[in-house]
Amino acid sequence: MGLEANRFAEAASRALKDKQLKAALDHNARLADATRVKSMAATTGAEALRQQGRGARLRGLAQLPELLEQTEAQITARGGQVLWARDADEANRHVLEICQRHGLRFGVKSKSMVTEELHLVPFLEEHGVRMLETDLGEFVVQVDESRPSHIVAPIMHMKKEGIHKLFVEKLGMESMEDDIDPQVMTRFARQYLRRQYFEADFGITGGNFIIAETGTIAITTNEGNARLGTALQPVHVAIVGIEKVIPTWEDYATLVQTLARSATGQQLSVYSTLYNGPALEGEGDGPQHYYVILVDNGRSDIYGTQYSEALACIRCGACLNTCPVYQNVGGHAYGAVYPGPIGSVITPLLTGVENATPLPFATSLCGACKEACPVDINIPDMLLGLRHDLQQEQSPLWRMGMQAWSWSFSHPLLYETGRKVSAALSGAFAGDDGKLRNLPGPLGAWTEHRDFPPFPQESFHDWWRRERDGQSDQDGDS
Amino acid sequence: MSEARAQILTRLREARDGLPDAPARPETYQPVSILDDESPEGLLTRFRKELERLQGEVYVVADEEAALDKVLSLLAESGARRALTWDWPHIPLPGLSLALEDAGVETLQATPDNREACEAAEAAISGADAAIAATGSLVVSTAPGMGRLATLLPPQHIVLLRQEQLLPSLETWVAQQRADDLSHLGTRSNLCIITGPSRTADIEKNLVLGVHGPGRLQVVVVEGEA
Repeated sequence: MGLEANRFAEAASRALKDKQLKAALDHNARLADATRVKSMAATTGAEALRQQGRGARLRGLAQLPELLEQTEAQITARGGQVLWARDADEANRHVLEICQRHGLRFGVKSKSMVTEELHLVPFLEEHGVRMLETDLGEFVVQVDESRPSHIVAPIMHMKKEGIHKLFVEKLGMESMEDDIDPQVMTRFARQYLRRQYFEADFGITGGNFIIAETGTIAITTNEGNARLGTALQPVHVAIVGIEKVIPTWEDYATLVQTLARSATGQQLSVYSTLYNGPALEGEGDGPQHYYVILVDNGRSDIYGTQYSEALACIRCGACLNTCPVYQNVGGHAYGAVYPGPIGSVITPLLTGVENATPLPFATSLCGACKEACPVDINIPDMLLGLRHDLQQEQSPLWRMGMQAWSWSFSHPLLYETGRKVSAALSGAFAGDDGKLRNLPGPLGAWTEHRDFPPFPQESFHDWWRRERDGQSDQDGDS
Repeated sequence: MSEARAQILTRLREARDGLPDAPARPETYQPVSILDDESPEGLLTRFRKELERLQGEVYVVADEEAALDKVLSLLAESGARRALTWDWPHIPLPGLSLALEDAGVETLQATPDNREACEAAEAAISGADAAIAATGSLVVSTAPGMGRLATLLPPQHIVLLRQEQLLPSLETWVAQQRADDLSHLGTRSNLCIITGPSRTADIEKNLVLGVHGPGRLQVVVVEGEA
């Protein structure tokens, strides 16, 4: 994963040249962003609510160890079992052991970012346990043998034509020729997946929130796939990051509504499902066995650092939709499970900053992400912090270069000379209109995707001197 | 207790000093959705508006007899001959079982052994714990005789609701549970807040209903006091 994140520049270049992707993102990401903005505009006291949601998340983090213990006690009291996992391998092995204990061969899974992070599905399949994604978008991704490009809308990068082709070629759906109807494709997927639901012997879900006071795992979906995937099967395994804890049901009421508004502009997602434990004696459906796996996997490394706030993220995807970088390169370019602005913070923190060096720079620092965040996470600030961390690890040559740069900035004469030389030299690379389109060496990275404006005839310094002198003349006249 | 558990908790306890300050728990929470009119009529109007916006259907009837007629006509309209239902005492409409039998609608309740029969049902009939006006939502909890599958498997889900079950907001519902010491929440294996028919917009943001759950959600509200 880390290596792929380090290839951001390359992947982003490819993405920028992909016309299909551009069309999909122009439509999908911008529409999602506009929907959120509209929904927030219709909210009374939106900023106060944002702070209320933020407060809930920060209280959850402040009392994290106690709330996790409370969660465990509640779940255990109702007959569920809580397992703890320090890393991905430990989490995956817990799931495998559960499969072995109950003789499980085939599971249905609802969308969960933490399971993507753990690479759970490939792990289980290597060990002979078949897994099927049931969220429509994730299902398409699985059939396509690719990766989700968005944490809420996994196939944001795809157009309906591509999905149609996939269903026809891989699943034997009847071709609709030139009249591709998302309705018909969705119905096809429903029927296909419905049969599988009945064959599956366990369900895997993630968790959007853990409500500590009752040990309740809250999951939201619009399709109903998580609820169905835990109603028919005898075993339910919920895999949740330890940071997802909130103290109370009042906090849940705020956050579950904020999440829906920020993610899709809905007032609430269609199914806000709340899991307390295994089916009770006499219930006609629901799991006989209920497991909750609490996953650390790098979270406790972030906890208590200057980046703690990143743990408050509720994974709504609003910062992705609104980000000018994401809108242009899409989710795959980030080469990581969590793309977009929050991903550029989380990925380096979870995988090691050296494994994701380009990501803190994959941003214009415009601040749209902080603005959009329903819990007011200061993403730009953390990206700057990560840049600073990286700078500490830079090569001595780079640091010397930066020091020289900084020195020249504090010495006007040197700066002026440098500017004049650059302006003169730039003439050699300028087009007819004076724009620089093809700079040499490392400077070429800039002109690969955009032009550099021509150097002005008159520098600011010259202009200022002229204006100031003119000004004092006028002062003298008055 | 496991080594992983001890290690994770210890690490968290040791690192917590660096956390940003958390604001104190508010004494009153600001509701996310605001209602202008909390009168019974106001709640019903809002509930209907919200649910219809999501392409759910709301039918308000004057009494139980009219409710029975409505349920039968909704089934006749869709042509459903088999209905998966909650156990009768959990649906607030006496006489429903007989009325369905007279109309020739076969009914069944979910058991661990009749999954395929449940899947063959074309409609479902259930009650609800409460309904939320501000968001057009239904709260359903799971207990013996009040199963999950009725709210999920069939393409048509009919919910019987009494007008007094309508609450202003999700926050009001939580406040009710709090007043009850969360005992209801804590003893149920599962709850769900259902807001509209099952839907997706995964394919180019096109709205499609009925992905995994029902595409038709029909709420029959019986007016007045019980």
